[in-house]
Amino acid sequence: MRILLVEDDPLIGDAIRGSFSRAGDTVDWITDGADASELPEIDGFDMMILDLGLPGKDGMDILQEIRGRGHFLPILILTARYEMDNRVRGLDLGADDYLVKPFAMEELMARCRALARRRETKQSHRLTYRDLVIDPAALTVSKSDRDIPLTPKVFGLLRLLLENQGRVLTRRTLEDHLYGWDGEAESNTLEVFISQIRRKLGADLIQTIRGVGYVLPKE
Amino acid sequence: MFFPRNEATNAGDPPPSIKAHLFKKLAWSMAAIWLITAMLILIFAPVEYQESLDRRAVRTAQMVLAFASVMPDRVVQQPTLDDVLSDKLELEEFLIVIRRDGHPIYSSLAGGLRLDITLPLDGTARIGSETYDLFGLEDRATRTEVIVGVSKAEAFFASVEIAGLAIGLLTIAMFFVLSAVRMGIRSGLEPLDSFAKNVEQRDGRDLTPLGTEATPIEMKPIAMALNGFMGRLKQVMDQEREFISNAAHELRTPLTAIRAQVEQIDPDPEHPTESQAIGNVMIAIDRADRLVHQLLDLSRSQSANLGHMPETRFDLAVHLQELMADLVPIAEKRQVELSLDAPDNLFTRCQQDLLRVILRNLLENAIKYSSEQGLVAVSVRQADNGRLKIDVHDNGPGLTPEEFERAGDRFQRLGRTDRQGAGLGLAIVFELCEKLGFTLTRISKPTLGGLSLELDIPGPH
Repeated sequence: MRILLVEDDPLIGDAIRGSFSRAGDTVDWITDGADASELPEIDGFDMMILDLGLPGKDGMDILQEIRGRGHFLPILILTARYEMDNRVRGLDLGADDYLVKPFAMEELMARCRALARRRETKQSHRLTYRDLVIDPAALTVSKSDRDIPLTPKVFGLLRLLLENQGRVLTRRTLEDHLYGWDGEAESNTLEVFISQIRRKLGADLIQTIRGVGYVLPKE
Repeated sequence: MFFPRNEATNAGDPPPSIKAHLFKKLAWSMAAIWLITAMLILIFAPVEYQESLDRRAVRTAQMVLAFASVMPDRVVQQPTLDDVLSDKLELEEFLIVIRRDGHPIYSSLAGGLRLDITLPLDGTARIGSETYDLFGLEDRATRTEVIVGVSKAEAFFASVEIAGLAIGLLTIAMFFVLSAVRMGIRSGLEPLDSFAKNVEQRDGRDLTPLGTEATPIEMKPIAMALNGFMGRLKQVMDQEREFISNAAHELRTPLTAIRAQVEQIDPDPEHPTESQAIGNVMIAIDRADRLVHQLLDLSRSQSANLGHMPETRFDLAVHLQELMADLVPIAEKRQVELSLDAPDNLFTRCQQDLLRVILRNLLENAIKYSSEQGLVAVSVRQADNGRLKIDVHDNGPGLTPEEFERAGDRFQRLGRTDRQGAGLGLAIVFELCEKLGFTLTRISKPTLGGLSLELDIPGPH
C-alpha cells in the first residue's frame, strides 16, 4: 500500500512511517501543508493520512482542494481538535474517516486497512477473513473453499462488518445499511440476519455488544 | 459565592452607614435651626408684644378720653366705665386713671379711688410693688386727662408665656419633621437595599451584566462600574478557560508523539521487564490522555453558554449505541462487558454534545470502577411525566451516599484509590447537569451490586 502522509510533527510522522514500513507499506511523508495539494501524482497513492493542524495551510482547506480537483483516494484525518463539529465537517468535506489524537498506532493501521479494503471491494477485489473468501462482484462467500449461499441483504451485512473489522458497528448503522433511511425494520430482523451468518459461517464469527451493536474481531 | 459580604474589619467598630450619617447630619442641622429660632423668639417676642401692648394702651387711652370728656359727673363709677367700654376694650389689663381739673374722678386700682396719687402724663410710676409704663392724654376743652398704665411685670410674664408657647410648638414640629426625615431617608435608600439583594442573590458564576433600566440615576454609576468589573472578570475567566482548553489541545500532539514512539519499541523477549515497562508507559499515556480529555470537558462545561447552543431532538438509543460503541475498546481492555437496554424511537430534546460528555464520563467511570471481568449495564425508560431516565449500573465497589455527595469536588478521588484517574469525571457531570437542568441521583438498591446512577433528562417536548 502506498500512503501519502501529511504531518508536521516529526516524532509522530516518524512513528507512523516506521510502523507502516515495517508492515510492508510505502509512506511518502510531507510536513508542509502547502505542498500537499500541489502534488501532481496524488492519484498514485492508495490513501492519504492528513493532519488537520498544519502550519502553512489548514488541513480542512487541503481536504477541500483535493476533493475539489476530483481526487477520490481515501483520506483519513488526524485531529487534535476536540469539538464534534470539526469531525463532522471533516467528513462532510470528503474525509473517509478520522482519528482524534492521541491515537493508538494499531488503531490507525486498522483504520487504514479498512479504508483500503473498502476501496478494494469497490474495485471488485476479493476479501479474505480467516478461512472465508468474499467476492463482492459475484456476491459469493466461500468457507474453506466451499461456497455458502447468502441472500443479498445478509451478504451486504457481512461485507460491511468485514470492511470495518475490529470496529463496533451500531445497530442503527447496520439497520440503516439494511433498509436505507426509509425502510421500517422489524425490531428483531437484524438479529435474524446475524444469526443466519453465525449458523452458516461459524457461531464465534461475530461478537455481540448487547443492545449496542456487532463487531467482527480483528483478524 | 464570589464576593464575600462586606463585614466591618473591627468588631467594635460598626460599619459606616449612609442612613445614619444622613440622619445625624440632618438632625444636627435641625437642632441648630431650632436653637437659633428659639433664641430669636426669645429676643423678639417680648419686644413685639411690648410694642403691641403699648399701641393698645394708647388706643385705650384715646377711647377712654373720648368717653370721659363727655361725662358731666365729677366721679365716675367703675361699673359705668366697664358697662360702656368693656365690649370695645379689655380694660382689666391696664391701669386707668381719669382726672378732671387735676382731680382724679376715676381709678381702676383695687380699693377704689386713690386720690392721693399724682401720676405724670407719661413715663413710669411705681404704685405699691408694681411698676407701670404710663400713656396719658389730655382734652383741653373739658380739662380732662386720661392715664393708661401698663404693668411691667405683667407684660414681661405675658411675653415669656407667648415665647414659651412658640418654642414648645416649634419643638413638637421639629420632632415630626425628624421622623419624616427618617422615613424619607429609609425609603429613599430602599433601591440601594434591593440592589444589594439583587447582587447578593446571584449565582457565583453568573457574570451577566445587571439590568440598569430600573436603577435610579444616582446608582447607575455603581451598577455600571459593577457591570464593567464583571465584564473584566468574565474576560479573565474566559481567558483562563481558553488557556486550559488550548493547553489541553496542545498537550495532545506530544502525547501522540510519545505514544507513537513508544509503540515503535520492539521489546527484547529475553528481558520481560522491558515489555512490562513499556506496558506501564502505555498505561501512563492512557491516563494522561483521559486527563486531557476531561480538562477539555471541564473547560467546555464551564464555558457552555446554553443560550447559544441549539437544542436538537434525537433518538436516545442511537446516541447511546454510538457512544458505547466508541467505548468498547476501553471496556475490552479491562475485560468489562457493556450492555444497553434502550427501546427504539425514544426521543429527547437537549444539547446533544453536552449529553454525550455527561454520558461518556458516567460510562468511563463505570468501566474504570467495575470489577475485572465486570459488567456495565445501561437502561433507558420513559417516566410518567414524559422525561427520560437513563440508568447506569456497574458491579464495582460502589459509593456511599456521602462519597457521592462529595463527588462534585474536583480532583477528589473517591471509593477505591487503587484506580488511576484525577477524579474529574463526576465533577464534570455535576457541573453540566446543573447547567442543563438534569438530575443525577444515586439508586440506593443497585442492580449489579456496584454503583447505580440515574440520570433524568427531558423528553421529546
